[in-house]
Amino acid sequence: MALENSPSLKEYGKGLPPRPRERGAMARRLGIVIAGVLIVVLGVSAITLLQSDQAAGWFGVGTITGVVVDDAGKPVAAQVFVLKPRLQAQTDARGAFEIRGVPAGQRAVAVVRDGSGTEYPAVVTTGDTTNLGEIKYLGTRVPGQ
Amino acid sequence: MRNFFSRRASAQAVSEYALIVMFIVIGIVALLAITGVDLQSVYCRVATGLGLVNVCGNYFSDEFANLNNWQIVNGNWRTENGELVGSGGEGRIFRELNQRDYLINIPAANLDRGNGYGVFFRATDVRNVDGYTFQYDPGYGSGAFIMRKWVNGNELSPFAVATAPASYNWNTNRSVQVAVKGNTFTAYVDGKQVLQGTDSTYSQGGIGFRTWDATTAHFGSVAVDPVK
Repeated sequence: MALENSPSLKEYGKGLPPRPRERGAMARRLGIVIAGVLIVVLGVSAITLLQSDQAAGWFGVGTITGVVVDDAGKPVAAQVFVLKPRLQAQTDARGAFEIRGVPAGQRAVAVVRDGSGTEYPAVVTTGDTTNLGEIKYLGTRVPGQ
Repeated sequence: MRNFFSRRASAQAVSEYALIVMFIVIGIVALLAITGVDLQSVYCRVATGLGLVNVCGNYFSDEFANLNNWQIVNGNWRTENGELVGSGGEGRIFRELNQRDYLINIPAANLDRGNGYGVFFRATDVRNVDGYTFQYDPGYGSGAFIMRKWVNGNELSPFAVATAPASYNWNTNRSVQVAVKGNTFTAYVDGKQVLQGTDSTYSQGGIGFRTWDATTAHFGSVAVDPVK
């Protein structure tokens, strides 16, 4: 500050002037805290939403087909489930099934019958049909299977 | 007069900030609730992580004076001398719990006879159950600890298996704990980790017990606590 711009001693006649108010600084700090909290909350919410079943189909859907057979290779009646989101189909007389509207990505398919079953992985691409071919129904009640 | 207005303006600013913060908090809670974040679970996890273990207490505990809070789906379940007893073939009993992560603590479990028992976790829609079981399973191969996934009442091939030592004594009183945290499930028997499995299909649900074949099993009590 230039000397000519300096306050005169008269201005300090009644003591030091009051300190400048810090309202602006407080508001800035509060704003930073609020912005940080909002960023964290929005991030957590976005991750949770993207992991939800509702969001699974946002990136396109495909179809899974296959034929369920027993150990001897014969077609068997079975229920087939896509897990997360839950979709299901019943095999026809030839053991064949088709599940449409499966969200794209890595999915798990469970083949069940009479209270037990087996899970298989499936990769679904948007607009395509993923043919799993022949997949075996394996009961799990027998130890070691 | 000037100081009066200055103080008044300052107080007004603080109340404005308080209102803004209040609206933001309401908005955050609403947003988290809409997007499915379990606030109680998050709070309990944070509190437990900070060492405030008693802040949330346990989700529930049961000394098995009766089975009023349990839903028997099938099998023969009863209380005897303050213990839960299960027998009679394929038996399932459940207790509803709307939590994601928790620690199931069974201080005394005894397999009297048969091929084993199971502890359900993250179980929903119990008539056609979806969820998981940890199984104390001498009937699996030469005897093993396993974890299974359940789909619409059907048990799938185990996604985690640990074979027990050949000399393992299955028919004695043991403590069983199952820690359910995120996609990772860890089972302890007598305080020692025996099995760990991962799966991401089911995110929340209740607990239960399972018997099968000729099993008779006793459970002294059960508590479900927030998991660290």
